[in-house]
Amino acid sequence: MQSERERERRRARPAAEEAAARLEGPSPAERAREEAASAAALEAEPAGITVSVRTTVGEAGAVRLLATRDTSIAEIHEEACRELGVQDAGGFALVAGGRVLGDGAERLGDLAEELGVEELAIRLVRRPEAGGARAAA
Amino acid sequence: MAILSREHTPLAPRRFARLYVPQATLRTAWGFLAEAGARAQEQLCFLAGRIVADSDGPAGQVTCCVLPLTLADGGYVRLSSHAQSALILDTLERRGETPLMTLHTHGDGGWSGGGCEHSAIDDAGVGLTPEDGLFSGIVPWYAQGSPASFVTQSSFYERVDGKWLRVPEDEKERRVLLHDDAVRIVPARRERAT
Repeated sequence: MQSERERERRRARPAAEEAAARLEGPSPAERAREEAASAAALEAEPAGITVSVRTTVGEAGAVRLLATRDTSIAEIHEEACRELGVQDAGGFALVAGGRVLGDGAERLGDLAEELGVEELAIRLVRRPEAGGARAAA
Repeated sequence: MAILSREHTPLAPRRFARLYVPQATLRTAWGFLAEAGARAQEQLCFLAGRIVADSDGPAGQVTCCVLPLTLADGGYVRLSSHAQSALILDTLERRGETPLMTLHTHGDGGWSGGGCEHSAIDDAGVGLTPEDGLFSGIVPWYAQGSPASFVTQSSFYERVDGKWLRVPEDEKERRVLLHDDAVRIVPARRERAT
């Protein structure tokens, strides 16, 4: 009987301590540590992602954008085509890491994470095509 | 808009006085075009290489041909994917080469008596990059003739100010030169300022 009460008391102790801790909240030292950690996280989070969109094998015909991580691929496509004077934007696609970026809603931050890079190097390309005038008519 | 800043490097104006094409590279490209032609299909490929200093300005020296995967029928040909275009550019860039000419075939010899002509599709689509200075060559009759007739029988265009202009017949043999030499590219020495 005695030991049963003892076991009961032992079970109740951690719950009581936890409740007390919840009432008291974090200590000033703990709070300072948390604030420092969140400040460091803010500093570590970059303002945006640098994206280079290129159309040639050199640096000519390229645009370098700084965009927030939530910028969509569709926005990058539109902006790159406008900056580079591409008239037939629908015929061009963005390609990164060997993958055609076909989902316009995809976010830059997710793409950078997937590719494991801090800066994105993207190609803006078309699929070359040719056709006799008679066949096209 | 979530774009914070932008910096644009425009395309540089570029024109090649001429294009040097090794016979062996042309024969390889021709064989690729002719193989599809034997099935009565159009075909398309690229000649790439280096920009070299010639006596009267920059010239293009072809050093390789790129034979892509294409989808084709009798009157139309297209690369199989955008990813392939990017892969070709990535590979050429690693090799220090640049696209110089797109070659494609037509099933006929042209309808106005002056050889094959660019169609609207060709104008919009044959360039692998949007740069000026690129050449486009149309090989008639699905390349079923001899590569020896390449310059005389084909039609050539060059892109100037973003538009494809026909290389006049009397300029073709001065602008597109076939040669048998092995290619050895020697970087030009920079003059030292004194």
